[in-house]
Amino acid sequence: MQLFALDRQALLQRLKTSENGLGLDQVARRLVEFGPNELATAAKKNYLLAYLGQYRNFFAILLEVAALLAFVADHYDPGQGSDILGYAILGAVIINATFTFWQEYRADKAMEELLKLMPGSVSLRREGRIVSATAREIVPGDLMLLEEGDKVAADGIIIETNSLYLNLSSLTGESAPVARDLLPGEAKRPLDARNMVFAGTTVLSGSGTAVASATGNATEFGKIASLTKNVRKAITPMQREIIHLTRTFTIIALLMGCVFFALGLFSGKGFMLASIFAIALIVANIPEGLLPTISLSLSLASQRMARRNALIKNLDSVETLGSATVICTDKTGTLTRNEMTLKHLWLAGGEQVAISGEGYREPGDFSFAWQNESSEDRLTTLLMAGFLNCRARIDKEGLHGDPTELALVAAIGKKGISPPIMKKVREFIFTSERKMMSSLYQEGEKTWLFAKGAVEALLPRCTFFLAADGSVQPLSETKRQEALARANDFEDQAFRVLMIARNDKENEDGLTLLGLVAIMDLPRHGVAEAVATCKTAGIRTMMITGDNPRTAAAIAKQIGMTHDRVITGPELEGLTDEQLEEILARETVLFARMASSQKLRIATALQNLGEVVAMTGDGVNDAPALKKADIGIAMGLSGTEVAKEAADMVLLDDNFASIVIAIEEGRTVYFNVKKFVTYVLSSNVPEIVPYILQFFLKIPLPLSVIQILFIDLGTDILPGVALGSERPEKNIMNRPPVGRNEKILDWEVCKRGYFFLGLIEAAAAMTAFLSFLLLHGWQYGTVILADPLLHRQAMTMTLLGAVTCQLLNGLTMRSWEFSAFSLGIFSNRLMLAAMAVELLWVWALLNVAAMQKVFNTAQVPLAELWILLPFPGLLFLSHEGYKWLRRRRHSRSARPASLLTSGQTG
Amino acid sequence: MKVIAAMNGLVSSDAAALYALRYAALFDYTLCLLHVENHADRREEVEMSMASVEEAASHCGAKTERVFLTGKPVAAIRKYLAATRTDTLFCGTRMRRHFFENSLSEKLSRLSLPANLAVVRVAHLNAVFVTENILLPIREDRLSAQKFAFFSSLAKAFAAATEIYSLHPTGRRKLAAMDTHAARILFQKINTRLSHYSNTLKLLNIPLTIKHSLTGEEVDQILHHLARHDFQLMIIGGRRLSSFSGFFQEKPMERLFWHTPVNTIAFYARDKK
Repeated sequence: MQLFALDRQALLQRLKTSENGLGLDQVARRLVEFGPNELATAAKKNYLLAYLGQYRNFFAILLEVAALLAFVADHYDPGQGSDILGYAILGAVIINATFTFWQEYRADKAMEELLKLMPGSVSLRREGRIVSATAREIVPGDLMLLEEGDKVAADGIIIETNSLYLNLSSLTGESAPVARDLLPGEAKRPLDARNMVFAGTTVLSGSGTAVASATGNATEFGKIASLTKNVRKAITPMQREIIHLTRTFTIIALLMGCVFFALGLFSGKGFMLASIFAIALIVANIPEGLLPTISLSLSLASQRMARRNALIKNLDSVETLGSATVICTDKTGTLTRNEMTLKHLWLAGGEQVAISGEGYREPGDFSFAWQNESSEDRLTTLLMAGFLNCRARIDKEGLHGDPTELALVAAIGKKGISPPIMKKVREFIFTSERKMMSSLYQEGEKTWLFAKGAVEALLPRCTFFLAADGSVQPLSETKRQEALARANDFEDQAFRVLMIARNDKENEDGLTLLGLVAIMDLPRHGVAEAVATCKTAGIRTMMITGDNPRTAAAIAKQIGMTHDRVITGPELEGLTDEQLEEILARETVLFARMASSQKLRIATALQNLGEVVAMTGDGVNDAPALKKADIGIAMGLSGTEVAKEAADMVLLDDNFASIVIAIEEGRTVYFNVKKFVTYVLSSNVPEIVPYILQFFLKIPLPLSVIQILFIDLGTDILPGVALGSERPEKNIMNRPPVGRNEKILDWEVCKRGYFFLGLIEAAAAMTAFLSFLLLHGWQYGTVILADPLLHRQAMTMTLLGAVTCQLLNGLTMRSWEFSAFSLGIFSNRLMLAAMAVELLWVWALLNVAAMQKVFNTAQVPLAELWILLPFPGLLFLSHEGYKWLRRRRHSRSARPASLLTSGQTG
Repeated sequence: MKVIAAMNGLVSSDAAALYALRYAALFDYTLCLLHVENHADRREEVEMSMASVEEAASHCGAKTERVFLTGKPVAAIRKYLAATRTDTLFCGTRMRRHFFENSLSEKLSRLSLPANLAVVRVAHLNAVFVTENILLPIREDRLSAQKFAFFSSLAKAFAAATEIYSLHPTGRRKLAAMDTHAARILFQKINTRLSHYSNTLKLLNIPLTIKHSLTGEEVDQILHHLARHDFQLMIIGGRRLSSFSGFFQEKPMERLFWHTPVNTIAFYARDKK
């Protein structure tokens, strides 16, 4: 026989416990036998493997091969400095890997910290005493004492109950209160048994005692948690982009390296020289600082987002947010406050009262449409009747009880009235069949019965009403129709309507109608604006709610969430996948009466249509959909541990507006990455061109490999990071989402980086190098200079030529389209700091002996630095001119929204 | 022939003994309730547990005997096994593992024994009374005769429906390249290789379903399967691990054993030598 079907004594016997609970030694031993009551949801990440994985990307492998070649060259031809080159390249690989790993590690740790915040304390009966313990200490056989507001920590079977109602939404998706009983009903499975409580659910009202029957992974909650592990997720757009970037650069570098190696061999330069050339070109072509800069940029963005209540778990998800084309959002708690507010009252005397102040704690006023001298008294009577029939309460510790009742309690607070001294004698509980509840009070000799419930349940029981003059009068058919009409009015506006009545006898019939209350979970502040922003940003917003279609549609209307049609859960069941996709391709749908499990189907259908889906969720059943969506968004306040673990992002305030802020950040990151990729590419050209020229022309070597690494890992990193932390551009939310096929490394980026800014920088570097040599009497054709100091000074000039251009390149690259002058000098202080550091680097290169030794540089007379001056200015002004031309072209073609879409316009 | 249940008074060892009782009753073997006296266990608790198993045995007409040994548990049990004709030794195991102090079941599972060893991991105390569906996950068609015999015996003892869940480890790329026809052929091949087992179960009148899965993560797939379906017992093949296995990452079967949401028996076949 199933545990839940056993009688009390048999149950306790089978679980080897008693009415007094387990003994402490039994608890200790069972803890060892069954383990702690916690979920082992995912295998622990092996950080050592994760770190080693950083050495396996294309860049790293290529650089490792380059370092190996350098060591081989040193072995066969020692003393040429190839070993130093090898160590330098290896150093670059290690810095790169460590840095990228560190950023990912920090993001993981942030999430772990969040999960630690899960609640823990539970009340148990052990050895006949009530003890407080952490949830993880519960073992099978423990007696769990359940009170209103408690989170159930393990599966259990009820042995004592007092009107116990649970919220099982974390398991079933249904948020309606579910009554618990001492008998199981006709259940065959534990989930259907009415006498079972489940881990992860919440006690809405009442109290009870349950014997723990399963803990940890063995709970129903634990079983569902394991479902999340098997949903496979596609790689994120950023991961795809990084693969694309690294592959492209690797192929270019390898091709160029191979071509020049072959050319070197055939032109008789010898194996060694040809190898060195090949290595130099490979190193010059690889933007070594790119990956750590991307990681750092994503990390900074995720920190900014955390400050704005969006905690990112996976760094790559930051950028995916920018590509989101559809947001599928819950209603309760995300679009709405998840706080029921009493907004309107109708007194049986005929007055209508509007109440201001939203939620449970905000103060508010009561304004009558019309009133007489007894209106205030009747209003107080109505509110008090509602209040006295509630189990909910609001105190310093928080909110306790059913949300609808809390709205009535909050209204009493707004009115500022204190309850009369009455003794509650009895309560007739609410059931779904009765659709009403009532409480019996004793006030001295007098008995009062207060009732509240659905209009259709309560109105037939009313025979009197409290009239406008304060007297109790028989309820006429006209008054009955008036009450019904008022209730329908409220319901049409998506309010939840309760009728309030009382009786001076212990009888639920022959009641006196006091009035109606209209309650609603109001939209959050800022949500309407966020929905409007989504519209201009080309993002479809779809509501997926378990609530009824009328309420969902009313909320959607209030926040401006337009939709073409409403599909309910049962209707969705009747649709094939093809039909669903066809509808989603053409229309914006509002999904009502949905079960959590249906979210996965919606996410899959949208993804099949090529949409990038952001999906919100909080329950355990939401976890598969959160994992499947491109961006799974869990609720930080109301979300379950499992949902948070499955999600890519956790909303710390459960607010829809925070998603839109996160999307803005995501888009910003995408374009910032684009900017610094262009910035980094620009500096690759002055690294490559000197080698090509030296190969074909009879000139000395203009730049050493160490100096290339100095640019890539020294001077380029900080401005790159500064570009990565640039603020959102003005029109970032006016453009369509970043398309799935839109590449960071597109033609526009290559054009600006390689063929425009890069060539200017190469010209600057080579002009500086050759002018300096010519000024010091160098003759064309002299490849090896007699004076090594002169060569080092000339190489320093090449390096300075590239670095000084990059200084102003960083400034002009701050905006992809708008003038750098329009941004404000101090709007990106990190850029100013980066420029200061870059200047410090330059000074150190020229003046610090150790730096000169490592980087093969020398002091250059100050009077000869004028050679460098024209090019940075030229670069800055020509790029500003280029942006101006683009803006002009766009304003003429009147397509401002596509300004940032470089691929289309370039 | 005997079936031995190693008991220590804990609820998990009681559950293991109840599985042993069902198994012994099926073959009309004597159920030997064995306890090795040691300072950690209380004799009266052990005797109470034994009494409750004896009471259950009296209902199903199984013979029982009590054996109390002294000395080091592993050595005492080994010696006892060597001296008796034992079919299977059942013992429960604890969930929380100590790095330096291995449980009796862990120590036994590393040894070559002259009897089968069934290590019972109890997730649900009640499942031992209500076992309607038993799962046997295997990789492709790898199923030894001993493991199958144990699985079918328990199924018969509980009159439970059975399922063999065959997992075919497949990488993402291979999975993407595989069409329905190729998958069907693969599954048919596995079914053919398992047909003698399914015929045997048919003869024993035990309902059997064979299900297949192409998966990259075997353990996750099994846990996923357990969450989706209503099983009360899972039987897996145990692997004899060294004392140093704790130094390295958890092995897949080990992971499954510790994270299972249903009662699970790890079966170690007797040493043929």
